[in-house]
Order: sequence, then C-alpha cells, then structure tokens
Amino acid sequence: MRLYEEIFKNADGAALARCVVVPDGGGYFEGVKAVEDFSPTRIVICFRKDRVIVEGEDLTIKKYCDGDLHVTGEILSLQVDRPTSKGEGI
Amino acid sequence: MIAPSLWKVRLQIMGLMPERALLRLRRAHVAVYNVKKIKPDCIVFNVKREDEEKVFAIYPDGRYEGAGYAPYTVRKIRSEGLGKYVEFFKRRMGLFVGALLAFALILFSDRYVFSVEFIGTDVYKREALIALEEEGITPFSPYKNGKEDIVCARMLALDGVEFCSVKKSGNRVFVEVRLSPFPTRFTDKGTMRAKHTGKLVSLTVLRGTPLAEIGKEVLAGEELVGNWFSTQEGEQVRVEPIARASIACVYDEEIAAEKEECAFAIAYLEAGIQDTDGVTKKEIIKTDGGYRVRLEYTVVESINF
Repeated sequence: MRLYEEIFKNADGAALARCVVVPDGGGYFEGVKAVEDFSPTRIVICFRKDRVIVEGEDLTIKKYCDGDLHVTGEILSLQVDRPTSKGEGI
Repeated sequence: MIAPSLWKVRLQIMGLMPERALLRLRRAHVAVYNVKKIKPDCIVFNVKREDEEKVFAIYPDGRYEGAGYAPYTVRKIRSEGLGKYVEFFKRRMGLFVGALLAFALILFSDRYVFSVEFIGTDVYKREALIALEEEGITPFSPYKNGKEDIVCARMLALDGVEFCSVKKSGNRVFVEVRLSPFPTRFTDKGTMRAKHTGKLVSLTVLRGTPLAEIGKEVLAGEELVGNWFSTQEGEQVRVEPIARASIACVYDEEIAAEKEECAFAIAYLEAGIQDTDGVTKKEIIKTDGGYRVRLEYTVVESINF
C-alpha cells in the first residue's frame, strides 16, 4: 500500500522485509527467504537479515510463493531475532 | 478448459524438517497453499495442477537417483477443487455414460407410440383405429401432435357417441369413448309414403297434412302425409310429420313347397310381415305345383312416431 510505503520510506530495511499482522486474522509477510521451522504453534520465518518467530495457535501457512507468506490462525506473539543484536519482542 | 486456480492437488512431503523442502519449491516459483504439519516429519500442502509435475521433478518419489538419495519423499494424496469432481467422474465413467445413454433413449423414444388402448366402450374400436391410422397415429410410429381433435370429431359423428378424447401418455395413446345412455332419435323430415299396397284402414296425423283418404286403395310409394301445414293466411309451413297409418294388404301367390307349413312360412317372409303386423285371414289351398297361399294382413306404418 502506498500509505505504508510513504510512512516507511526512510525506514531501514523496509524494502527487504515487511510484516503485517492482524489480531485473530493471521499475518502477511513479504521478503521471506525461507521457513526454518513450522508447527501449529510456532513458525520461524527467515528474512534476508532477520528471523521472525511467530507464535500462536492453529497456525497454518495459507500461501507461500515468491517470498510472500500468508499465515492464518491466532498470532499471539511476534519476535524479531536479529543475529547481530539481542532479540526484541514486539 | 478449467481455470488453473480451480484445480489443485494435495501433496505430502516426508523427511527430516520437511518445512525446509518448501525452500526449493519457492526457488522454483511453485506457490504452495494450505500448508499443514501433520507430523514432525510430514507436511501436506496444495499446489496448482500445472505445478504438480514441477514438484515431482524437484522431489521424485523417494527413490535413489543419480549420485544420491532424495532427502524428501513427495506423494500425491488427492485432487482438490474441481479436480476432485473430474477424477470422480473419470473413475465412474461407465456409470455416467450408461446413465446418459438411458436418458437419451428415454428422450428419443418418448416421441414414439407403442400401443393404443381404449377406455370406456370399445364398440367403435375398429372405427377409432381406422381414424387414428388415417391421421398417422399407429403403433411403433412417431406420434403426430395436433391430430387428436380430428380423430375426436370423427368419433363424435358416430351414432350414440357422447364423449371422446385422445391423449398420449408416455408411449401409449389412450382413446376414451363414451356412449349416450339414451337412444339417438332421428327424425324423418320428408313426406310419409306408403310402403305397402292395400286399403288404407286408418290414418292418424299429429303433425303434417293428410294426403290420402281412409278406405281408399293406396299403392306402395304413394304419399300419405305431407310434411307441411297451411296457415290461415294460406302459407305453407314446412314441418317434420308425425303420423301413423294402417294398411290392409293381401298376399295371394302360388308357392312351390312340399308342405303347407313351408308354403305359409315362405309366403310370410315374402309378404314382409313384421311382428307388429297382424294376419287377419289365412287361406292355403294345395295345387299341382305346390300350394296357393292367400294371406290378408294389416301393416302399421309410421313416421317420426
């Protein structure tokens, strides 16, 4: 969306990865390089620089194609894991 | 042509950390849908039908190939979406072809008539069959619409027919004919003429004009009652005559017969005496050739009586 592009145009790494999470509606992730771990309660998504750990209930990968990942289910927490820095909770 | 997005296949990948297998699929630009991890070493997912071959090309089904062992095993579980129904029909092709053939046969044969059945009375069965045949409605032939009224009109013109209907139901034609419970009365509108030669004994005229005199001799064919009456103004109004006449007749002939009774019977028949007529005198004399029979009888003739 152009709104988000405008908001995050100066953000570092905005063009490389993006995460959109809707409470009780799942999430949409762009720029995904790989899915490291996958289970109904935990998904580990690898981006170019970071890893995002998604935890929740009844997690399902609705669609995964060309770097876009659509996750459905109830997402309870999202944690960014940067290899060069400490993990930061969102 | 079915739209690609409507036909997906459900595949299963088994191996250590099977979610890593998705990486190679992503690099091959194969979109995966509805991914679920059902076991620690097994995930199931959907791909589009046209991507199925790509997946099996990337992960052949668990055999040693080339220099190494394929780490993941891919297996097809089923088709999804419209593909599910297509495969369902393919497995039961014979059943559906048979059903279609049966349906086509029913549709095609519905145009034909296989039998004609009669409801009500079959007194005029022969006439009905002739009428149907002339209009092209016969067993084992195509049924012709629009001919029912023509057949019914011909049946209704028959004596005593009160009701008639022709209907097609399935492959059978039903002809219903009902007769009137009352006898049909026909009226004679012409002049009353004598059917016998003799002496007019009595003449009763309820409608019409008497033309013969009582007590006079009348010949067969002679007018007895006219089909009109004259008004006071002198006009003649045509009517259907109603009258009855009694004529005294004589039969006198020589009949070749061996017995008297035979001669009488022959004379009785030749004179045309009916049950309503009365024989007033009988004279039978034996002759060389047989018997001479003389019968005096009275006949009753009527018109519209």
